[in-house]
Amino acid sequence: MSLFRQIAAVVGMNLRNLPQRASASLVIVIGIAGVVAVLVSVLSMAVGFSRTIAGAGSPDRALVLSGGALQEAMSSIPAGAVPNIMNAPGIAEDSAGRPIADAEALAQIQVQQGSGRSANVALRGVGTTEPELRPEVRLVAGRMFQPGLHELIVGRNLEARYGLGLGSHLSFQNGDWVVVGIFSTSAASLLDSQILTDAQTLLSAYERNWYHSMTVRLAGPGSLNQLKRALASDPTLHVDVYRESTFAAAQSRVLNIILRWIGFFIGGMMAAGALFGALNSLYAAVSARSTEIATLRAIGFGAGPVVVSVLAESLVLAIAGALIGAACAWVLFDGHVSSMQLSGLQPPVAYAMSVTPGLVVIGITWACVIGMVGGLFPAIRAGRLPIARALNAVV
Amino acid sequence: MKYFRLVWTGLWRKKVRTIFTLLSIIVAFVLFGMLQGIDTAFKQMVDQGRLNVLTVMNPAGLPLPLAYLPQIEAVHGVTGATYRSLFIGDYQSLNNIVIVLPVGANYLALNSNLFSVPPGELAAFLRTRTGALITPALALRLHWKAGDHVPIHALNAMKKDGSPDWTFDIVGTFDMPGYPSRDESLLLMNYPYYDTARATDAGTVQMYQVDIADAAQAAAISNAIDNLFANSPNRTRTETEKASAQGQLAQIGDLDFFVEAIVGAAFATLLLLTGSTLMQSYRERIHEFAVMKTLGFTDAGVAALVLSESGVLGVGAAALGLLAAHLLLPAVGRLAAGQIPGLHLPWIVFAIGIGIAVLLALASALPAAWRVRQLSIIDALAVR
Repeated sequence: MSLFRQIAAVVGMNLRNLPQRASASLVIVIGIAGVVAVLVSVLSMAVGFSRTIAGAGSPDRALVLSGGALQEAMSSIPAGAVPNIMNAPGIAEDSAGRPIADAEALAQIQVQQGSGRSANVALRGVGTTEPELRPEVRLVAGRMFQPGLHELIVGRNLEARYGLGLGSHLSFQNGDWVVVGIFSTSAASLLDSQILTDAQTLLSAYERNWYHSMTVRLAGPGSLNQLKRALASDPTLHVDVYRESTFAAAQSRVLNIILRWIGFFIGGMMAAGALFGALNSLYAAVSARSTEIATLRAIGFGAGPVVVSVLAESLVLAIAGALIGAACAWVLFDGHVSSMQLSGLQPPVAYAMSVTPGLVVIGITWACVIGMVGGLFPAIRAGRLPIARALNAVV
Repeated sequence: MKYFRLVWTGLWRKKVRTIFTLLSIIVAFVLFGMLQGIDTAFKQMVDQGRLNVLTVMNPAGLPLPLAYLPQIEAVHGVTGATYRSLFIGDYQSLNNIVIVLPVGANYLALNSNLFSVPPGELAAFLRTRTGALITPALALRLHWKAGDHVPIHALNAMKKDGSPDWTFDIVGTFDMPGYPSRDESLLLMNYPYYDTARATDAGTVQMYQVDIADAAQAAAISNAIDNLFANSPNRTRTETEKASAQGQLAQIGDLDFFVEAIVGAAFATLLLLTGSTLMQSYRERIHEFAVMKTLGFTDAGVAALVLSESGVLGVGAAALGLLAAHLLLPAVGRLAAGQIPGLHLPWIVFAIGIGIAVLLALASALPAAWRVRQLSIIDALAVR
């Protein structure tokens, strides 16, 4: 018999009698399923969160912050500096020739959570060019707020989480504010966890004369550098200019690294535990089959096919475990809305955990490594089994 | 005790298997210890929040006018009030982040149980306009000592002259006795220096701290303070320090849920692994148990032997795992750059861990112990 046919015969026989060793095999499957479920779940938080944060950024826009500010919440731009920035070169213009640029202001308001606790929510004041500036923001119900009136539009995450439907009233800064619209962004975004209103109205309610940041639409590919140079050469300004997509991605980078690190660390620890479990049950499987293996060797099968058959068993069980684990993570957590803070300065951002095919591949890869390592040593023992002694030994 | 040798020998009957089982239990308890340790550290921040101290902040996340101070002090039941702001800066590079707290003149006096400053250094701080007190950790890391003149590059506090660089004269260090392993990069500065030099928001503070005589009056006094400013553009939100810490913790995310889910998954997997290993070991030793029963061991005796083997293995491994977690946690604290103060393995987590180990060990050995107990000598010896 050729080596290939030998391997096929032994592997096939071994896999067919797997059900007879169901309880020991189950240990490997469930152990690995646990590892993969935890790994994929934690990583799906990282993926969902960074997607949501990065979703607010576009390569076609630039963000202007006061010099040195690391976040929008740290930045302040005096009202007097706004015209200088607005009229700088590199900013796209609308059909009427006005620059597509917004000075934006942030505040936090408290909303009631179901259990009587209150939660912080970000309120963002935006300018009149908002529709041209952020075309991805679309109203799904109601209408746009009117400048000068205490009107708000609410991101769809907040509508669901805090019951802020059309016509609900919020009371802050000695005013009664009414929700006139619900908006959604085309891709998951940080904005979905925010409330938008007119910037001027917000500033006058809070009696403030400074904005947090400016967001502008860039005219073309080279416009960012043009804008940077122009603003740097203005002695009255001390600002930093970022491409919005780059800035947004950088915002979640640290948290993303931390979450991945946590996922790989916990997953790694659990993988070590599962590996020891797999080694134990495969050693047991090999010793339970020692008579069978010795018989195969005695009738002419080589050591190679026996080794391959043990490895194949281990891999099949590992992959089955990985699929079960990934399926558990997907069923339990895909789309599960959780919330996390980007920094202590900002209210938490709602994001949906996202189990992507890439994460499933990572899970299966880990499972295969555990299966290979866990199967290798028992397989070698199976291959080296002394035939005569194994045939003589009874139990 | 005379059976300990028997248990011990039974345990090491198959060395490789026992070592692998031991390692997988150790791993689960390292995870348990570290996750619970981090969880407890967060909860301790809330526990350390005082009930007779109120914090007054602007619910909009904006500053409050300094002019509120006399009105707050005049509220009935208030024994003292102080204030602080906060900005973040770095020394030479972003690797050396320093958290700067501009504090009111009586801030350290009202918080003498949190910050301990030698009287001479406190006097020097209050005397020196640009004086600064730092944590010993910061002094050690940046090699600063009293008398040094140091520049801090502010990330969110511009000065009137357009520069973000603040210079300080170090006058001493302060300890934070309530926080055993706090590795924080704090710098305290005098409020007047901050307020007169900064470009924006002059005359405002980030928060007030209010001491009250009777913790039972906290809600009434909080309402009284909030009512004072209810019709101003800068409203206040007053709550106890504990409630404020709780609110901040709630904002971080659903931490508890994930810690419990992960620990649960790890333990369920472990129970299964250990249980199946013990069953294997039992099956291999059917003969031995039958022989022992023949020699006069009672049914309960052999069952107890099986349970003890599992108990010794489980508790021993759990203790080793928790010890490893205890040694690893400070390293995690260093990685988190002092973001999680007081990171250590509390005794209660250690005790709970051992308790869980006992339960796990008994639960996973129970099927095997039951089978051994029910074992009939004749049948067992007949099996070949």
